[in-house]
Amino acid sequence: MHPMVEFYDTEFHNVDGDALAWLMPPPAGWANVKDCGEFPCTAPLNVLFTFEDTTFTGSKPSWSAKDFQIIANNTGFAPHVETCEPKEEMNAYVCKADKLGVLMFESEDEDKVDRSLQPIYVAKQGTEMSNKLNSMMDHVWDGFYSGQIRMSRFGSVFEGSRRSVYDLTFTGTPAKKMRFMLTGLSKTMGATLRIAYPGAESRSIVKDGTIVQPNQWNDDTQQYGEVKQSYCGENRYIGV
Amino acid sequence: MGAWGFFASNEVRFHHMTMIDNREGFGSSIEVSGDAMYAGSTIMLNDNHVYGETEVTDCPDDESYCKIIDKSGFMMSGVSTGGKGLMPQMSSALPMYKIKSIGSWGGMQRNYRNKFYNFGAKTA
Repeated sequence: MHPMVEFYDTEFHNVDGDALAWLMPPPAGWANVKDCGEFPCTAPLNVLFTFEDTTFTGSKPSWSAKDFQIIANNTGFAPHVETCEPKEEMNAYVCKADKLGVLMFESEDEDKVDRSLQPIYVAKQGTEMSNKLNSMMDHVWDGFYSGQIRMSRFGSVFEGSRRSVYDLTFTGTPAKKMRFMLTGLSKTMGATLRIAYPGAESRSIVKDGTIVQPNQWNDDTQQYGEVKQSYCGENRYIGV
Repeated sequence: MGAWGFFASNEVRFHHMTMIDNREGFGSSIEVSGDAMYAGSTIMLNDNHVYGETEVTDCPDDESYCKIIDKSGFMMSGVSTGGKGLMPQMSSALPMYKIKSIGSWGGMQRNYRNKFYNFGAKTA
């Protein structure tokens, strides 16, 4: 599942700030060829807990608020989001950022469980953000041996305030066909995603089964028109 | 631990339960695989009462016993391509929340009107 959990109208009675959550870091032992490869799988670093219309009574955290979010201590993401503050005892960050969400994407190619695309870096332009993603853990065993089957499915905690532009940098060749989904509580969140492909093949954005045509060609700039985030699926190809 | 499920279903709801003094917390995961994972699935925990410390301490003054453990009220649930039977028949199926399977594509978890009581930074 995309790792986002929503809480509404939650009540905390005598719950200390240090006790409100503990977000487990990915175990270093996951970094082996049988499980996650060279670095631990990254799902625990990309969880998002959202709280709306929360009430606190009695002993409560100094940062208590009606609406807040809790994200993992992901050094490639959390410190680079305004309003997110580290809480060491929780191994987490507490945020007041309503444009947080989770970006899911996966390969739909035939080799989606055989070929590695990772690590993939999700970086927001204008920040030092660089969220390093791994694919799914290998859970298949053929007798004594691991199956070497890892689904190229990725979840990234995401900040989608208006005008956000993200670079998705694949260290393996990006899949030819990919599926994307952005979820969050805000209806106005979104972002432009940029992917540098190694080839110049024709590519299309398909939304709900229909191709979203690229922006009009601009004779002045000699390239397709700028993406202005006017609608979902707006896109262009920039040749290099 | 508190109540937990890991069943093949597109939706699960745990509601109006009371959890007291649990080590691993409670929650529920579900198994959704194949094309169904793209159609959406839901986990809901609603109107539950979750207690950490109570009048029954882990180390009473008479020193008759003392067993201090970390306590959790809620454990993150999820949607996975694998699940478990309603009644595990082998110890290898335990703990209930642990699964050797990849996460599904979709799935929402929405929790309404839960109440958490008396969780301190240190177990009493």
